[in-house]
Amino acid sequence: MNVIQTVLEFFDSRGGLPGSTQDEKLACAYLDAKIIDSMGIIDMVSHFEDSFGIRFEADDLQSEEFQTVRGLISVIEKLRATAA
Amino acid sequence: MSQICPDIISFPESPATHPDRWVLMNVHTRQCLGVGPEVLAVLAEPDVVTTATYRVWKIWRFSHIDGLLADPSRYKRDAATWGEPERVDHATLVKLLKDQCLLIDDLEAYRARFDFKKTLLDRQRFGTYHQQLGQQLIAFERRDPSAWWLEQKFTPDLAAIRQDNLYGAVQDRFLDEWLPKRMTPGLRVLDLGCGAGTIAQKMARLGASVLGVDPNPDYIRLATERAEGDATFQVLDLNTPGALDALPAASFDCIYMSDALLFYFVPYEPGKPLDLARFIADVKRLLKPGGSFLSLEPHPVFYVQPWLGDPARPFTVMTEYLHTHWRINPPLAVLARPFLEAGFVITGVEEPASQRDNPQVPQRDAAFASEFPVWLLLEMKLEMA
Repeated sequence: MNVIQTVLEFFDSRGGLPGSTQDEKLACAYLDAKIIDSMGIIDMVSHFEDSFGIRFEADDLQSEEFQTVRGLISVIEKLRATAA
Repeated sequence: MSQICPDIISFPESPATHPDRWVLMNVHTRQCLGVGPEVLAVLAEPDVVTTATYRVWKIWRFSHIDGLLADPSRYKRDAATWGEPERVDHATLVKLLKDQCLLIDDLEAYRARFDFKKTLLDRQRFGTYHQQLGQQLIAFERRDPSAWWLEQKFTPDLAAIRQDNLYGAVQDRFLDEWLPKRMTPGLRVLDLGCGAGTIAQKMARLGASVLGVDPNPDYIRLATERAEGDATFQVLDLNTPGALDALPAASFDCIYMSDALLFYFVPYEPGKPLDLARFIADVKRLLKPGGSFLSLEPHPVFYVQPWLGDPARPFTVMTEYLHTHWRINPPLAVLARPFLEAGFVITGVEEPASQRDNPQVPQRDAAFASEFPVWLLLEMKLEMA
C-alpha cells in the first residue's frame, strides 16, 4: 500500500490540504492549520492504524515530526518497517 | 550547564514505612520523579559526574484522569506501590531529571514553555489544565474528551450525580442540605446548563417550578422524560448571542448555575471569550425584583493545588492564584466584581467541604477536602434602588 497516497487521500476526505503541488501539501502543518481538530486526531490515528496495521505510541503522536504531513508519513513508514 | 529548577520541592511520601523513598516535584509543571535520598546531592551539583548508581521510581501518573476533583498531584501516592527502583547511572539520572523539569539548562527557555499549547499534541508548551487533560485523553487514552467530562459528573444513565468522587459526593450532599432552605413551593427557578436535569429535579421535588435549559438536545430529551413535579426543559445554548431573549423579563425568583460560570472568565478555548456583560444583563432582566442568582463552582483557591502530607494533617502548596497558567477559575474578586459593578450584592457565601470520614470517596480525598473546600457557592441579589 502506498503510504503517501493513502495519507493524502485521507486528508482529501477531510477537506483537502492547502497547496497546488505535492511538496506543498506534504509541508502542511495540518494540526496548526486546523485541518484536523482535536477530536479528529483520534479518528485519523485509528484510520492509519487500521490501514497500515501499525500502532502509534503516545511519543509518536506528540513528536515534532507528527505535526506535518511529511513527518506523519515518515512516522508511519518507520512503524511499518518495525512491524514488518 | 545544568541547574536545579527553582520550582521544585522534595519530600518523603510515606516516611513511616518508606523513609528512603522521596518525591521530587516541579510544583508548576506537576512533573515528578521518585528518588532515593542519594539523588538530592546530584541536584545540588548536577554537572559533577560520578560513577555512583542512583535509585529512581517513575511514579508519574496523570491523576486527574481519575475524575473531576480527583487528586491533582499527579504521582502514585502510596510509596508501597512504587515497586522496585530502577538503578541508573549519573548520565541517565540527569536526563530523567531534565525530562521532568527538575533540572533545567536554561531558565528563560524553561519559563517560555508556560504558554498555551498550539495543539493538543504539543509537548513543548505546558498549556492549560483543559489542554493537558485533552492531551492525556487523546495521546494516551485515545478517548474523546467531551465524553470523558460527562462520565465524570453523572451516573451512566445520567439520572444522578455520581457519588464515588469528590465532585459528586460533596456537591450532592451540600445541595441536599442547602436547597431545602432556599426552594419553596411555587418558587420560579431557571437552571442554566441543566444537563440531564439532575439538580433541576431536586429543586422540583422541593416544590419549586423549574425551567432547565441546556444546549444538548439529548440531555433535554432525557430530562423531559424523567420530569416529575413542576419541571420543564428546553434546548437553549447560552453561547448563542440572544439565546435568553426568548424568556420573558422578570419571570424568575432564582437563577441557578453550576460549574459553568467559570467559562465566562476562563474560556474553554483560548482566544474565544464568552460575553460576560451580556450574560449579567440577561440575568438582571430575567430576575424578578428581589430574585437571586446562585452560582456553584469548583473552588478557585483549592481546585487544582497538590494534595500533600499525611491524611491526618494534609497541606498544599499554593502555586498560583491571581495569574494562573492552569487557567481554570478566576480569583474571587475577579469572579465577584462584574456582578457587584452591575448592581448585585452578595447575600450568601458557602464553601462546601467533604466529611473527613466520607466512606464513598478515598480517604486521602476526603481528608484533603475536609480542610480545603472543593466548591464555592455565591448567592447574589440585585440591590433594591
